[in-house]
Amino acid sequence: MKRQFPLLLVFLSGVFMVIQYFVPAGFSEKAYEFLIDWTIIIGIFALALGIWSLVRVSYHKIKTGHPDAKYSMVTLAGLALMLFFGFQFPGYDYKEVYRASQARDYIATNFNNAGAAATEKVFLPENDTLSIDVATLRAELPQFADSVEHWVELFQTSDWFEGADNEAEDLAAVTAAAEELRAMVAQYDGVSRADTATLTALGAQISGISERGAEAANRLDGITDVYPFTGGLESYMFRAFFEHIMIPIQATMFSLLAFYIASAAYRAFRARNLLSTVLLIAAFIVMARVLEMGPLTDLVNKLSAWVLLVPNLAAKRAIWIGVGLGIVATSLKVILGIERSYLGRD
Amino acid sequence: MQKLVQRAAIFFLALLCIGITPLLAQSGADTSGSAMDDMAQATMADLPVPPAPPTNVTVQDRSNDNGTGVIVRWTASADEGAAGKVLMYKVYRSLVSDAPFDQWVERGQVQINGGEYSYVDEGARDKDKSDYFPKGVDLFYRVAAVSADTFGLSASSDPVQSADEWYNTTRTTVLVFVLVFFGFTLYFINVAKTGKSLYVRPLAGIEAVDEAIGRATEMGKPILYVLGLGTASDIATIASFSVLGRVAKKVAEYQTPILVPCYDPIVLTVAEETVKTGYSDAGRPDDYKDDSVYFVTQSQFAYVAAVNGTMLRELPATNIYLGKFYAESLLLAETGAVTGSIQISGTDEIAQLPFFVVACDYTLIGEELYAASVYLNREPILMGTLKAQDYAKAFVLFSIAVGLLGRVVAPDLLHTIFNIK
Repeated sequence: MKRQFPLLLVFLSGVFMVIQYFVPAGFSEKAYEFLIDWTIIIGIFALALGIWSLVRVSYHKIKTGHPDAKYSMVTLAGLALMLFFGFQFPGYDYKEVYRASQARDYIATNFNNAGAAATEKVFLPENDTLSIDVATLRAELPQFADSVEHWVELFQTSDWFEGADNEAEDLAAVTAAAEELRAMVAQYDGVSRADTATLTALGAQISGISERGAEAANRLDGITDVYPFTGGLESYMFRAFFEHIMIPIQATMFSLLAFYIASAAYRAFRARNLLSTVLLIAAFIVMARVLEMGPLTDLVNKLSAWVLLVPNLAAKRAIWIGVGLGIVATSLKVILGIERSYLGRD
Repeated sequence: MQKLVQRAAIFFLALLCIGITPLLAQSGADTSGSAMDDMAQATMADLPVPPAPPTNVTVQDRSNDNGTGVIVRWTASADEGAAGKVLMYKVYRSLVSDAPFDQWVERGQVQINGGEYSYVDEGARDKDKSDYFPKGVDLFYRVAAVSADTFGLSASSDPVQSADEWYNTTRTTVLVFVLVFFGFTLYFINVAKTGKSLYVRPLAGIEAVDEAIGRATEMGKPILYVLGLGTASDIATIASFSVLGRVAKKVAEYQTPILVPCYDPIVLTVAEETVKTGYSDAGRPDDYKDDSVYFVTQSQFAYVAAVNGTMLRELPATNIYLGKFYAESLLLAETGAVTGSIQISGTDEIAQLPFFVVACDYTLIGEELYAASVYLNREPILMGTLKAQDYAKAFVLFSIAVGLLGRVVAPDLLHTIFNIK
């Protein structure tokens, strides 16, 4: 039973998924989404197992004096520090922090929307055609300004950004931009629809104001000064560790790829036999495409396109067909219970 | 005499009235008529003339969907070509056909293209979404031809209801193929069960596994098995689990250490069970070490750094990379090449295959990864599925040949059969 039940579950789930693919009805989709949600839930619980595995293995290395124990120490220290900095200790009003962050985003979004509305609704550059929604834009501009001012008021009446650099200046810039936005409505008075040049200029003016407003809003970033050590994702130390250690290290690892590609290319393109020579010539043609070859440029471009679109694509398609069949075959083996190595022991 | 004068005066006044009234009337009519005409002409000149409305507005429930779409079609306004009078069309929807115009909701805009017009009005399936598309109720549509200043509105369409579909007809080809493949699989499993020998072409990469494990045993070095960045639901990872099980059994028999650093926590739990099973199958469950299968991180390049570090410190005799790989493939394989390990790789990610081919000793290309576990195990049932795969491939090749021939001989026929537009 211990083995039969999981197999039955796999069979039923697999058959359901196959049938679901052919049934577009809403209930079928909902059932599919419900099952997919389970993978997320399982993943969250499994993450705890993963962290436990990491801690266990690292601790064991330290305890047994393994030669690599120093790396395990760094790993565990990093894990503990990030947990600490990311932790939300009781006593802090984290809701306030999130509201501040939200307010900043809302202000920037309002400005961005105003800018987008000005370019989309006043003038459609792609076909030089005036839309008929200028009236909508005129109604929206004060709404954007109202919303911005509402959030600015919340900023001013709270201490979210107390101590933040240039808080007063940035708030003033945001408020001024909102006022300018509101004043723009009057600029449309008496402008005829035929006056495309004026309408375009007004649209550009709104975009400019919006850009300035959004920039000032994004500078309102004083949360990290309020919560230097702990404070969840907004903690200064948490962000500093992530942005100034983790991301540069990852970028370094990724950039190594350039050197590895060079060394791999050297090995691949050595003309040891006929096939290697063909590969070398094909690679040269494809790479030469990005070079200015004078009178040969057109010929090289055509040759390169042919290499990519004919032999290369044909080979790729052959692999894709094989992969597709392999996926179906493996899925069938799993659904029918023929392949059960993933189940582990009885 | 006085009476005569009075009568004459009355007669004169009467004559005057009779004569003047029509004159006055004529004069007044002339005056007021002229003013009204002028005003009307002035107003008409100011009022924009709406373009001719679109005609033949027809609606149809979108097929093969979950009841969240309706297709609206119409014939272009007669004024469309008239000096660019029509700028675009707007599609409106209402639940009532004769609702006042302000109760019609604009659903979308269609730019003029001079051809046949259609618009797919679609929305969300769930009622809690703001753009929920009403299902199972009558919907009416009108289309407006929009000019710079005004618009001409069509009559309301007939009612239409969107409904759930039970079968997606566009996927019939897939269904046929699945059934054919299923038939092949069952047939060859039965053939394999009868004991008939089924030929499988040799896979150099898989044949090298035993040799690689033997080499590691001789050198006293571990084997590094990397399952890639896939999740447990990726077929490539599932295929890799199968190979891992066989490799774990071999290393247990040879008493060679194995290292399995994992990227995904769910993959970790499955890999642990798989390796434990391998050790149990080899009759050495106690030799399994908890530290041999471990979680590293879910950050791609941090994972690469950890695995590369392991390679450089532990100097494994054999590295096996089977599963889903992305940009980390070359970083891993090149480091392995630098440390002098025998390297066996396999993935279904076509973009990564060249890197593995260049940096590894053996590479399983695409489907060979899925065949690897069968090749290692050679159980009749598994061989049956592999054989079915081969025949399905032959079926695909045959279909391609028929398609090519059909394209030359009768191009329209294939277009009709497969509804190609």
